[in-house]
Amino acid sequence: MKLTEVRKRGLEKELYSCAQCGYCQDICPIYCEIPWESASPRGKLYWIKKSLTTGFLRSNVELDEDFSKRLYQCTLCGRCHVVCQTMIDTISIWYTARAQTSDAKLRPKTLSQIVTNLEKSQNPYGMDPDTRLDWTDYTGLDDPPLKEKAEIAYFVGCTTAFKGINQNIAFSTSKILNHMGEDWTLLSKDEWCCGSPLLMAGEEEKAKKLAEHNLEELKKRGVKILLTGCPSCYRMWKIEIPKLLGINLDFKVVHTSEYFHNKLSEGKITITPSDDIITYHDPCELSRLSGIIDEPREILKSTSEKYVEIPEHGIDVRCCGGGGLLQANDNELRMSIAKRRLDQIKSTNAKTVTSACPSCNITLNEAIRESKDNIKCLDIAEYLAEKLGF
Amino acid sequence: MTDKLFLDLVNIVGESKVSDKLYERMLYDHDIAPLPPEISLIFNTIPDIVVKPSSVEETSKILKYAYENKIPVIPRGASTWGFGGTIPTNGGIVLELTELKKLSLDVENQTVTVGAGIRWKSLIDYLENCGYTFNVYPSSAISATIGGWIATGGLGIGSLKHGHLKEHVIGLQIITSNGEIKNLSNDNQSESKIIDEIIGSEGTLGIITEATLQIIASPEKTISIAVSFNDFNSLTSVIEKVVVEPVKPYFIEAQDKDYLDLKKAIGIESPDVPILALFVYNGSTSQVEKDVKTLNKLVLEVKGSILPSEFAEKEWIERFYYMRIRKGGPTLLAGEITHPLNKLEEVVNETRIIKKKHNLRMGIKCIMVAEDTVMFMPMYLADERKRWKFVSLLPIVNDITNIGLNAGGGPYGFGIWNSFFLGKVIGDQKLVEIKALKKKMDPNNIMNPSKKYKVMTKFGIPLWGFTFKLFTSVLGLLKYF
Ligand SMILES: Cc1cc2nc3c(=O)[nH]c(=O)nc-3n(C[C@H](O)[C@H](O)[C@H](O)COP(=O)(O)OP(=O)(O)OC[C@H]3O[C@@H](n4cnc5c(N)ncnc54)[C@H](O)[C@@H]3O)c2cc1C
Repeated sequence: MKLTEVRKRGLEKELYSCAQCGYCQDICPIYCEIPWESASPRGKLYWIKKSLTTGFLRSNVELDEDFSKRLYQCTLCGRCHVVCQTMIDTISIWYTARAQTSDAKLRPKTLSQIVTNLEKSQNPYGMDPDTRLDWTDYTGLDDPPLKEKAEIAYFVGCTTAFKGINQNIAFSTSKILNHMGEDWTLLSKDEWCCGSPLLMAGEEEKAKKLAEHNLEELKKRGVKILLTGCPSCYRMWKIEIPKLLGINLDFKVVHTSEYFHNKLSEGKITITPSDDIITYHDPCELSRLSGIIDEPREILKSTSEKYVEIPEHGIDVRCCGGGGLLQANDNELRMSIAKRRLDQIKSTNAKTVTSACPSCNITLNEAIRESKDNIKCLDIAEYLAEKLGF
Repeated sequence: MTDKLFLDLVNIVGESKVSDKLYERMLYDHDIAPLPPEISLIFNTIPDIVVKPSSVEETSKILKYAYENKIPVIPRGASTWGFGGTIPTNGGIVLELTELKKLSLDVENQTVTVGAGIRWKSLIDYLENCGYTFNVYPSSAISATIGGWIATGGLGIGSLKHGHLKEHVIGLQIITSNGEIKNLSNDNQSESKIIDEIIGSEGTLGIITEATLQIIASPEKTISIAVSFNDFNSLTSVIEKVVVEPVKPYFIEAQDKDYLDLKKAIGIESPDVPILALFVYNGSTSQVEKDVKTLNKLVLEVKGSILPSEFAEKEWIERFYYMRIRKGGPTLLAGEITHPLNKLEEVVNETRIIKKKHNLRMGIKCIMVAEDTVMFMPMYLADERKRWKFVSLLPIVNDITNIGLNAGGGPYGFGIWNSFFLGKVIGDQKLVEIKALKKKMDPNNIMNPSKKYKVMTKFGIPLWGFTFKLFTSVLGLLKYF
């Protein structure tokens, strides 16, 4: 099988404009761990191009398991696009190529399990949908709001709701919403996965179904603002779902870091700055792929006089390894990427590193646990809630 | 043979550093120059194996093995050079050196010793963090390796002020074709001679594994000025004056309107001027300010004008990105020649005749690489998906090289495609000398064979300039079918 889908989706010219300059190599988290052409963005593009060039003397490259494996050794962090001479829409090419591997049944098995889980229980972990709200018990959140109508829906996201280490993010966010006296609600088991892992596993049609359901639930509740602390959910709602369904959303999509930033600048939350040495790791999907870069920094700068930057940050952030479903596909690779990022974090001498993403939070905490470093990793919501004394 | 080769190399460096898989090897069959697949009619461009040593010792053992077994070795950095230097012509071992990543700073002597695989930009960034800088680097610095640039041109950003890369190399560590590791220092006369030959040897004499480079303190101030000129003559006259000032500009580049239009066509905002030039000065603040005043005066004299500073800043940041215009192609072909500054207008005119003749979407970019030398890079768009039309556009690169030769300059490197010009450029006596040196240093002819001196097809028959020309013209004619 050839990767013809790239052509069908009008990405062929993008592909051919690759100059093979190699700017995408040393910045690629995968290439840094697997320094082979086939693991680097330019190598993958060259491979796909060869597979599309058929005819006399042309290569007979077919999509096989080896190459398919490479396509999934990618965190979808998008840095290859930013550094690219010809600004190739690499992200679209990677998603498209994955979509075709799923058709060809060449997708890694572990990812197919995620797809099955999502079909059965509407979350990637295969957890009983009825337990989606259990975090409220575990964290001791009193009276979680489950309203029929509300201004704000807090879209918790599967990785926050089901992963123990992240549940405090949901608790902290809820506490802040209560503190602000917002008219907000949870969707409980009516919240289904946003569909982002399905896109990453190459299953667009299935992603659409989830989106349609969620849209219905939000409409029912007359929601004006969808608030989420997960950059994958955020990007999915803000960019991908409108594209997938060909619609304009009639509510605003807001990331918690934007929300907190607004409240701070309106003076509705006040915090006395401390002298904690603190830093911030940009989630790729929030900073590079969604453009939210200043807000989290301004929050942190207003809470600490000793805010420091990690080398390679903002739009040039080095991925922590937590993206692209890499954990399911190649956890060892994910952890070596995380260690590299942790070394950069440690070089700042910060005692606390914050992020604004449940996947980054899990990944960095895991790396810290393995390396036994004396550094704390928190989500920005947790950090803020702590400062507010919740 | 290949299985044995694989196992032998695995024995030397371990399995993770060797690949004989086709899906991997086929990605090592090219450099940045787009080539038609018809090239496989004359060359076997896919290596038999790719090896990525991570130490000098491993590299030496691989060479020793290749020497004993007479297997061609093709050294490779980031493969960003466009003359075919990293392309196998008949299989062999591609030796990718990007994992040679030593970096050690000697503050006392103001030197840095770097592994061949470090990328120039990471070296510059590292030095900058320590308060130092290295004077020169290629505009491909984001990916180009230390070894790759030493083995090739050595001219780029900063060369105008600080001279050729070789003036800043203090010592090299090389491995000769039989695997011997040699530490060469410029303090020693005979070693210094070998260093001179290794620089620019395109991987044909040995492998560069480490380089010791002279560094300096970061300049106090760097300022870039964007200027518009009405024609290349006025640009030349201003350059001629500023480069004889006691302090030369650090960098000068120019783009013509056609090139700017190609940028605009892909949505990059560019000023609407006949020629956009960038002058970059660095040094002490007071000196830089003086230089800028002088430049202002000279520009006014030729009725040029200084553009708003945002253009200058943007162009300086974009100095690594001159292939952006490829987006409109989607293929980009380019000539790359050096020639005397006083021939600039002539070279431009002749290039434009070619552009007109073939109706090319072509633009001109050039940079000053020495007081009196221009690196001239006309670039034109093509579409490799249109097979024969694309092939017919390839020989134009040669026409451009000929313009350079006629103007008293020549191609900027040889590799495969310019090997036919070698004698013309360096002269017969030098040719005899370097051929003798090649024989002495590489008796088994395994070091990047079939490059620079003599190109062999996969059938073992030499490819002469005229046969190659014939080959490309025949392919070109196919566009009529
Ligand atoms: C956008 C862009 C801008 C560029 N700007 C410049 C510029 O300003 N100046 C300039 O000179 N060039 C420039 N180039 C061309 C090219 O990038 C440089 O020549 C670069 O230094 C090559 O480095 P590399 O690591 O890619 O070498 P490669 O392309 O991998 O190798 C080049 C040659 O050197 C040999 N070689 C590589 N490493 C070694 C080693 N360690 N020991 C022995 N032989 C070796 C190879 O066999 C080959 O023949 C540019 C290219 C691009 C794409």
